[in-house]
Amino acid sequence: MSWSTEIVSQDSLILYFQTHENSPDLDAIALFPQLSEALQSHFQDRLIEIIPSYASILLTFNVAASTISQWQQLTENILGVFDFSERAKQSAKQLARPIDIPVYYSEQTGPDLQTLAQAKNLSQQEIIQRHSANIYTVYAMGFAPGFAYMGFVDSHLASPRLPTPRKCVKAGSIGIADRQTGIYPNDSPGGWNIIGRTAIDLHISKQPNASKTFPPNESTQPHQNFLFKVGDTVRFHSVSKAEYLAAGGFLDE
Amino acid sequence: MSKPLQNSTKPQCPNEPASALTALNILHAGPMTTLQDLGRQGGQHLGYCQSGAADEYSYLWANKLLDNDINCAALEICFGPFECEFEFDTLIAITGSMGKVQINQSFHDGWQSFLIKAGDRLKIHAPSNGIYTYLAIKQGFQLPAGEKMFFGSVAMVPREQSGPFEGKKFERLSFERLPFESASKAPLYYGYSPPTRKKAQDFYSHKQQRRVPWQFIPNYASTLELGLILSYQSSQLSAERIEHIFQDTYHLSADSNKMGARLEGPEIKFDRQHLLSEGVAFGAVQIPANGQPIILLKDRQTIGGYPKIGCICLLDAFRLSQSRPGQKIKFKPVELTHSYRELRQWQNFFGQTLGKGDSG
Repeated sequence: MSWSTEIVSQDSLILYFQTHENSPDLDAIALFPQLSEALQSHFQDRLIEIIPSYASILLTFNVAASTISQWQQLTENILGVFDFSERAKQSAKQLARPIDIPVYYSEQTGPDLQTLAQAKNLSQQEIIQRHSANIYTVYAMGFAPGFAYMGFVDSHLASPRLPTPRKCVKAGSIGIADRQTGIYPNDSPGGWNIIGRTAIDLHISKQPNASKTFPPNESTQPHQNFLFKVGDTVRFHSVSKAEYLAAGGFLDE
Repeated sequence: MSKPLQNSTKPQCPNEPASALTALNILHAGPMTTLQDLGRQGGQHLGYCQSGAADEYSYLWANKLLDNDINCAALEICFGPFECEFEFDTLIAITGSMGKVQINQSFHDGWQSFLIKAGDRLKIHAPSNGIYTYLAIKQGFQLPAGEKMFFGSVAMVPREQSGPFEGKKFERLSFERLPFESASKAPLYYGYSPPTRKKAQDFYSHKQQRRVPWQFIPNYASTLELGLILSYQSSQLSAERIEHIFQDTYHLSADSNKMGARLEGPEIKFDRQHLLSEGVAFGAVQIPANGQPIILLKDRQTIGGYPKIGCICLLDAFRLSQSRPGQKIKFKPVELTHSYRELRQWQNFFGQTLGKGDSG
């Protein structure tokens, strides 16, 4: 594995991770949480944004007193001593416990379940089994706040986005697009194939540690957070309608 | 929907009572009026956009005219017309693009500060060019009780329904009451409390009513040259193709908004149309399948899978935000090291706005 840094603008640079064959290294993501932490603790609030996504991380710096070239140099120093070894990746992977998501897979909560089953020549049950068999990695968050792109679904389930996106996909809906799967954190428009829904609320509120933040007023400000972050692993398991409803799930009228 | 969960409003000065708030009442908000400042920090890895004032140049001038902190909350008014009424005496500043500024029955030009008396009615008429007007108030707007900052900012993002007021823009016919510090707390009277109105007026008109010198007021209709730093996937294009990008003229399309400025002009073609999604910096020039560039601005999505030819200079992006559909746009090559010269001038003048005042 190798890394490179490239300046993209006056205040941002991007880190790329490649395999020995020079293709994007999707395995590097297991180390992203640690790497982000290392960068954050070194640069503190001079590092304004860290956006990890698949095999890259975009860094936006405060360039009030420095140039992005100077930040690039310092970033490379940190990358130079960071442990990217295969062993480090493996131990990061082992430490990461998959987040378990209960899903009520059904035609009622998954309007595309039957269509997908037909298109793939599989029973609904087989779709459910295959979708809940894999452990997925969160490769990126975006499109909408809290929407996690996870990969990769069984190649038999891979399916293009709907030709016309739905105006409203319900919060908690589980979708498939190509070989990715994801959960809509909020009601929103969307074009993924919806096969079920979870009762779990993906939003969590984080109370920043008051003593650590500066300026002090920042400590009392809300920081919205989500159940997942990039680099986490996720597993789905099928639950019954009764379990779904008991967990606070809702059905459309 | 995503809702901030903790209790906080814009910070109060520690020694001042919080009760001295008075307000401005919005009567007509126009198509898109929101509260903005220098934007959020630290939310993009979750998918929350940066947001903040679309045109920081005008926004910063408005605060500067009032000797405000550089990150004071101001109203960003898209097009207008905008109308409001004040509950208390104060100073305001109006910058950006605007038609006539009408205070009660008198008409004025923008890019200056105004003395406001309790009960005054302000109308900002729709601009004939440009997009955004900034209305700042002495010491900045406060958030009403129950509304909270989000990732260190008052920025409201209607698309995400995030920020104070659940990010919802102020309604066309809004009766929203926006609090601000009453002038008795502000150093307006310099300790003479309470002054006679006449005395105060003289003081403001001679000392505090300020105007931006004409040479610093942008002409939003002139051709726009955007400094382009080649980066991201630009190496996939031939030198010849890149040369063309710098020679060609583009026009701003009507589909543009605070997320992105869509350009129309000669196609830019990439062989590889899709790549793994990656983080998108402010000012990135993205090339979708149709070959027509989209320059990503303050309310952009945080990641994207289209190739990008690079990023435009930060300050050029603010000016682009003020451009109207049809605006002629050209790219010019910029050498990274030299590009900071302009940025440093900006900082020396407005203060360290990049990263909100923390030294780098």
